[in-house]
Amino acid sequence: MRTLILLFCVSFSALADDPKAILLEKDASSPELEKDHTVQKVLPPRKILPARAEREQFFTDNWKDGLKDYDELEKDLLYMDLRHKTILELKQKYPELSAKELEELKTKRK
Amino acid sequence: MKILLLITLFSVSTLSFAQCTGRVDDKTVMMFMDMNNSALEISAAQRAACARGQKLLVIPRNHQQYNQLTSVVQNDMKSYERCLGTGGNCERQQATYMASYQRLETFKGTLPSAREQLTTELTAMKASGSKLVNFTISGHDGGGTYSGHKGEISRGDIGEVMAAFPEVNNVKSVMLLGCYTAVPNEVIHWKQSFPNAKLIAGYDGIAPASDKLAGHQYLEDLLRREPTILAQADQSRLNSFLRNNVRGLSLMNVGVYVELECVGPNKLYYGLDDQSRGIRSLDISECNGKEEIVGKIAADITRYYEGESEPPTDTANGELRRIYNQGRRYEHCGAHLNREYSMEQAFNLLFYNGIKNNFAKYYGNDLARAGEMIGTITPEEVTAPYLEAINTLEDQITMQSELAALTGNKDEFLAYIARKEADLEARKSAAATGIQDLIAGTKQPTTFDQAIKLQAYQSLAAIGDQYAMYREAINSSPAEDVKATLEQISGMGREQQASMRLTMAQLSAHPEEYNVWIPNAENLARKTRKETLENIHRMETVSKMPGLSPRKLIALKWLNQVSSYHLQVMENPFSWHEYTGRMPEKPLGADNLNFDSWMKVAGDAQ
Repeated sequence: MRTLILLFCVSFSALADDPKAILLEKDASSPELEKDHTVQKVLPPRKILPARAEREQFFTDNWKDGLKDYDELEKDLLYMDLRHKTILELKQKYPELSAKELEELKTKRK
Repeated sequence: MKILLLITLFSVSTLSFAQCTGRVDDKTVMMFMDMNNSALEISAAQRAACARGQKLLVIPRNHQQYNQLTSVVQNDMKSYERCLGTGGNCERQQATYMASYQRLETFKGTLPSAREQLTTELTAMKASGSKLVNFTISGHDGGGTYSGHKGEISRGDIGEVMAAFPEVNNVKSVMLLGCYTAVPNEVIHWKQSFPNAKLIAGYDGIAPASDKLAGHQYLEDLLRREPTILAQADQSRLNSFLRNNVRGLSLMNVGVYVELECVGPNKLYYGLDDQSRGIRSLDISECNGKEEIVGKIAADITRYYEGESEPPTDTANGELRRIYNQGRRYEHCGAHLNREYSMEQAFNLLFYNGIKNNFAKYYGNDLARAGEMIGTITPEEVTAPYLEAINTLEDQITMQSELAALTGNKDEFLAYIARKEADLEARKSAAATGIQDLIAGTKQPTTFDQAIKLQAYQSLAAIGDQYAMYREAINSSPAEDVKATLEQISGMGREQQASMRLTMAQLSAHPEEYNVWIPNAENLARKTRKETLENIHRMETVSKMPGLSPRKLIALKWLNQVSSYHLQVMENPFSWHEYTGRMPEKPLGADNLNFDSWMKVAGDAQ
């Protein structure tokens, strides 16, 4: 008879089931979730910041005096911007560095 | 069998502790603390000590006697396990194993603790003017405590004892034989106990068993070549030297920390870095004593991440910029000190305003469409399923009460169930129209509509199961028990109804609890991060409410996922940190968050 009571108790929870939810799941393996849901895998988190050692090495190898007061954030931004921005955009954002220096840094960054 | 074993042990000990033919400086001591059963590792250390012209001191001193007992225990245990594998009667093997284990424990009980033995040896060395130049320890390592058949000692114990003998502690190399003994975090801790150590080696993953040749060769080569290793000119030469001169390096999960004598980056670590094994710079001295600073950085980033502090609009100055700069400097320490934090999060938080604007721009049209689909969520929508459930419960309670009244007459009881089952069959038949494949399990629902129909059918089938159980109960249990149970579960049904009515009243009184705002540019500009996170959380809750239409549900789910991905966990392209007004770069997860793909599912349900 205990089974009867259990059956009665769980009947309402079925109302909340939703077999067609699309979930973005970071965990590569989620068989339990996949039983009841359509699971779309999101790509693993992408690192957007460079390895600090790699960045430091780059600026050591390509030192410019205009960099001397740069803090960690400014170094990160410049290091990333060198790859993504045009010389004109770089010149506007980093006026302390000459166009020639920026061009040289951008060339080395490739 | 035991005679054979003793012969083997004798030959091992003869091999291990043969006298060195060269000169040995008795006042320059290498120490081997054996917590388990490391006879062969001790042999390797002994050979290296001979080659170095130094004395090897083993703790416990009576390790050979110990080894005989531990070997017998291990063999008796294997014999017992083999027997258990056959499924036969293993009482004799069990008794033999228990007896040998007891002999070992009794022997162990007569000896001082490992810490006391270490203290005794260092006291004697101090009195004789000896110097300790190498420290090796072997055993099972669990969170900095080495243990095994010969007792246990913690890293903290060793550090305290060593600190009491600074004139003896001249240790230049530390060998840590056990699993995960030489990960960078462990190296930092051991460096505190042995401040003069220039070579700290062990394993950064699972270590080989103590009887495996590769482990002995690794130990012996490191100890023999210690001076040459430390004399390498730079990182590249060290890498080459280790690979060519230390056997087992590429076969095992080794971790080797080296402080070169050269100028320049000289604190190096050979071990696993991301996916590959290689050498890298590891200036752990910078991390020593930085637990508090690193812990604060992690807590500060979390404070902004959780929205307890609002990310700034001015990125040029302020607290978060300071945290970022400090965090970047100590990022490597975070990993080594087990207080890891995400600089990716810190970066996104620092540029949170740019992220918000780019998010609103990139998804602008889709956010508007989602907003239209969701509209206002009314109390009637969210309470409808509760009302339906209350009515369903009412039917069940009535039926249970009527059945309880019939338990005195089994025939009437069964006839009542038969009538109910006939009614139910008609309802099931109607509910099964068009979804026979789904009921049979040969197809899966692909639309909301199909899923909901299948769910309705399954609910009816569950009621049928209840009828079957009632029938079985009246046929197999005393009538008074069946009556009592039916009365009990109908009482529970009344309680459930009361609970649902209360929930309905609360939902009706607080529509703000299930109405979300759309994270468009205008709203994001005036909402705090905390409010945005609360809204994302609410989206998730509401997207599970069963009373809403499929269109609303799918729009809410999309909104929840897209907001969570970009604004909560902040998986954003680098370029999103600044807002240019142009169309922002396509984010990495954009294909999975395509609004039209999500809506296709909802469209199927129309």
